[in-house]
Amino acid sequence: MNNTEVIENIDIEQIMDEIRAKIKERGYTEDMLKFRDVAADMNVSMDVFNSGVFSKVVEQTNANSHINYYEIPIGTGLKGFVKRCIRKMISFALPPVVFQVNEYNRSATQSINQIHAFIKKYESDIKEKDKQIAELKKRIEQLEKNG
Amino acid sequence: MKKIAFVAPWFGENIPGGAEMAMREHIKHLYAKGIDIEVLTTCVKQFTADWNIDYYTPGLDTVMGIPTRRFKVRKRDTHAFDVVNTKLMNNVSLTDEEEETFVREMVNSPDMYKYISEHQDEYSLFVYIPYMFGTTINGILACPEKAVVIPCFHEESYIHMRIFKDVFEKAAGMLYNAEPEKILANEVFDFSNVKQLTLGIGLDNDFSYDEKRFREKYKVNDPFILYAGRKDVGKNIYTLINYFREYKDRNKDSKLKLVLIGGGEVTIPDDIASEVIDIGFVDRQDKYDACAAASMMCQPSIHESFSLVIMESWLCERPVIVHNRCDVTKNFVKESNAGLYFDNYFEFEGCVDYILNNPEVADKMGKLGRKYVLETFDWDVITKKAISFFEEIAQ
Repeated sequence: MNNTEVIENIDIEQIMDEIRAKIKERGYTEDMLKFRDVAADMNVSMDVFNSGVFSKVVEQTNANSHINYYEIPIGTGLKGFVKRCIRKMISFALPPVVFQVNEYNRSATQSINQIHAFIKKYESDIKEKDKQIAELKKRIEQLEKNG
Repeated sequence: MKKIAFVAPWFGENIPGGAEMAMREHIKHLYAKGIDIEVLTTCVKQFTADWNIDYYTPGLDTVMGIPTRRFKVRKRDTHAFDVVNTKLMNNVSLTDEEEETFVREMVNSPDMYKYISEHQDEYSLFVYIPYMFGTTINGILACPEKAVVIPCFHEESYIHMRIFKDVFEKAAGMLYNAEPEKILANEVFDFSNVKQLTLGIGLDNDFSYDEKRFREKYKVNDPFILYAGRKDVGKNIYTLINYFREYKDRNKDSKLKLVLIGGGEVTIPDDIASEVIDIGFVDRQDKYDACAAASMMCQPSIHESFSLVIMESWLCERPVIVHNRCDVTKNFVKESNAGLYFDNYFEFEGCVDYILNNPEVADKMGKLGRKYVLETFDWDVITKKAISFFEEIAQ
């Protein structure tokens, strides 16, 4: 059998079936894992801080913190008419709730922005301090060598 | 054929990004075949720059020897854009008004659209890349009968915007990077009146690769999984980090390492910090050497419209493991039989162990991968296909 024939014999579906069969045989289940196994874009470990992800989430929080209840488009025609009627019928209850939610969102967003600013400030301070420590360590080593 | 204009929101010799690189390569190879090419773009520097700032001077420029016309951008309402964009990123569907805001407030150049409309007779075609930018949407509308799009579609909320349907279905042609992209496009849009072709992207293959050179230079002696590319949440890199961490925890005697190459920042948990080697940006030669030295490359992204790095791994004769939820990379793996795919941690562990425990099969997978890339993504073949597609539409 030449090399070309050998390499053409690989069937990855067969290999995948073998792998899946082994998983089944060993009785592996998700609760054996130390993390939540989800295939998502924001699949970041809860115990790992990531400055970039945090900044992105803060950005999103700022963009979405205010609910413009009256600006939600409801369209035209019969559907729009029905939606307008429903909006009128619940107008005694919904706006105060939306107002409260917006107030809460405003405070929460401001708090998060403060934490974000705090982290950003200390991130650069720590970097600077690390540099200084490294330089001092070098100097100490040098001094110890010299005597 | 008259001139062909490639239209993109930004253009430069070294700017990062998959679509940007694909455009440069297509242009370079078409130009080498004697096709009269011109680039129409804005004065914005690159994707990560402020889209309100004209970094370049408007007017005629030359990039890589290609005439490049730059146009001023329209000042945007960044906040309005961010609000709707955040909804899209969180898979919240938009109202018609919000979709209009998205297109209006993203990178746009009315001067460019005016130019396309007024000078369309000087060009055979306008080729737009990629799909979601204002330059593509409004450029197509300026002259739909001469519009060809290299959309780089993948499954994400943007592709389902109703406003795109009206625009893309008016285009003359669509060029795809991979077959699953074409299938997805035809599920979302009615392209019965649009000429379509799965073209792909070519790869230069006249390079050498040396496992030993990498191991000596970077002092990596253990077997390793290679991740090559931007270290970004959107590339699903934390799935790989989590999986590798779990793998090391469950296989305490394993000497396996994870080597990361490419830009961006990633946070590595302290308990595996000594097992993950982040080399950062490396030159091309080092990248090829790293591919050759790796036991396998892992591409965890679930939003790829091509993935050059897996092709590079195959050219260096090493197998790849990809995510089951990325139709494009999974399809490449299945077509070539040159790698495995995982849908969850246990399958990841199974794929890694299979490749480590079956080195002969892994080597054969690598060889199959190289054969697949050489046969399917040779620039000569790709460029010939592109030229005949353009000629057909231009008639």
